Amino acid sequence: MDELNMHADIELLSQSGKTIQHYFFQGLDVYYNSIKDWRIWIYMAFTDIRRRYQRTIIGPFWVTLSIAIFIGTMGVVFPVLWHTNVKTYLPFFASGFIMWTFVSSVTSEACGTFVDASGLIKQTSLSYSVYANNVVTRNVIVMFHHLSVYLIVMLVFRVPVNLNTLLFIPGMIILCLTSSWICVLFGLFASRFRDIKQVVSSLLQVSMFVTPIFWEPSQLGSGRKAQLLISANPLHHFIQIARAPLLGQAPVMIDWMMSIAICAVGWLMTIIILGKYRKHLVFWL
Amino acid sequence: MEKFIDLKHVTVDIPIFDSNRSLRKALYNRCVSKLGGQIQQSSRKHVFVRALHDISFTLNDGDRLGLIGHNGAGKSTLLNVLAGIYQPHSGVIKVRGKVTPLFNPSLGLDADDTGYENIYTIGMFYGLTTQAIDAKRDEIIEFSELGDFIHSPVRTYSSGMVLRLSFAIVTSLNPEILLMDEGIGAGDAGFAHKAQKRLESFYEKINILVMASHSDTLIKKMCNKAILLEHGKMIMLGPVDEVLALYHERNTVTA
Repeated sequence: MDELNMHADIELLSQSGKTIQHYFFQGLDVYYNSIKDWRIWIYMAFTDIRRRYQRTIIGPFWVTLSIAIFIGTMGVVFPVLWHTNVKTYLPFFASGFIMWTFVSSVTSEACGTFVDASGLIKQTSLSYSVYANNVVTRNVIVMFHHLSVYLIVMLVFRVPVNLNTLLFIPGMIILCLTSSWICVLFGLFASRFRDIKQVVSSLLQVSMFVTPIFWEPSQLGSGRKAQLLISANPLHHFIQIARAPLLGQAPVMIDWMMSIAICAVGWLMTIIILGKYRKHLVFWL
Repeated sequence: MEKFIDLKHVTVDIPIFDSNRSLRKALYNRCVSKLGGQIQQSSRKHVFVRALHDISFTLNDGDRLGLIGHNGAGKSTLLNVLAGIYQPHSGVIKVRGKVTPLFNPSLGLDADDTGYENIYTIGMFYGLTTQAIDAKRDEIIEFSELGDFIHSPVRTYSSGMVLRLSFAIVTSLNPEILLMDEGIGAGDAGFAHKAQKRLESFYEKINILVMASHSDTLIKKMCNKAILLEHGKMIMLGPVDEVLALYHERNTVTA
């Protein structure tokens, strides 16, 4: 058979034990099937981007251009405002802001993971996490466009490129894996409760200012409150595991530990919730 | 390997959410309503429609099943269950074979993409690999007679042209188990004749067909078995003529 076996051998047992293990394996099954269908979500991600910028001349670089303008302007205004050095501030701000754009757009698009794909969900039996993987992949592609801005910043300000830079790869993998469960979980809740989308978007707006992106953590001083504000913010750790390597630095241990822990716990929770509610999702749309 | 569909005591409930499906209401029901008595309790209860009730049947290779029933009898729900889109509330479904649901021939069609791009998009959603689509592509383009239009966006097509394209794509598939809601239509007279031939060879290759239709002639032509559904319950499973006769009899009695 030359065709993907996506619809083959469906076997549904509905009245078996409804324990947590049962839900866990149900959820795992959804994830497994989505990995088998990797061609579909990679293809969907690329066509989504192609369609979004159809008939524009520079395509996805429109967003990149607006980010470049923002970084260029703010990167000059803030150092003046805070009497810091442009040479250190601009690379910090540029890398942080690009990573923030990725995190925040994945999180806000996560709410539409299933709602936006309702047409397909109601007509095909594709595994639900295919749609989540599509959202993540789409945003990774856009992020790589944005990184071109950072490349210029790197060249202009001579940001060191060393072995630490390679840590960007594991950092990105953790970010993608985390985004993947966020898309499923937020997507599920946002399909059932349409308010979630609004809640998430208003929280994201505040998070941008609370997380050290516009300001450096050192500017807060070393007081206890300042330390707490930074280490208790999971977004900071996630930004840091990708930003520090971009700046040629190694993220500290707590950044790795926090992000890996959140990633693992989130996955476990999401798989169980997905297993429990996969039956209901189609009726929520 | 022998293909089959096996349903045992399948029941499907479709929940109904009021238009205001807000978090506020859900929180209120969860937190506040515990205090009260009867009214709150009824507001906590989930309202649902029992779309299918205790359906059991088995289909084997070569079976062509027609689903008959009035609007809302559960025909489409049953098709959705077989496609794996709806999961049953209770009961067991076993399916062996590649199931292709063909409810909407223009599934995944994007008006801003060219016809050429759409061949790949639609093929992908029906589970074809890029290589498989590469192999079928030229034949699809030739059959649809779109010529150079294949490289223009689909929004510039006439509705007949869109129909031709989706028809050509869909009939190039090799489903083992095909699920259909009504038949497949095909454009103008000249094309319809050509399409008829292709459609026949398309249906021939299928192992199992399940089709819902309101058209007696279509069911009689396509199917060798039929199920009569009424309010989500299976009234009768048997040869097409007998089931259709019962359907019309019950209809005239109620009318």
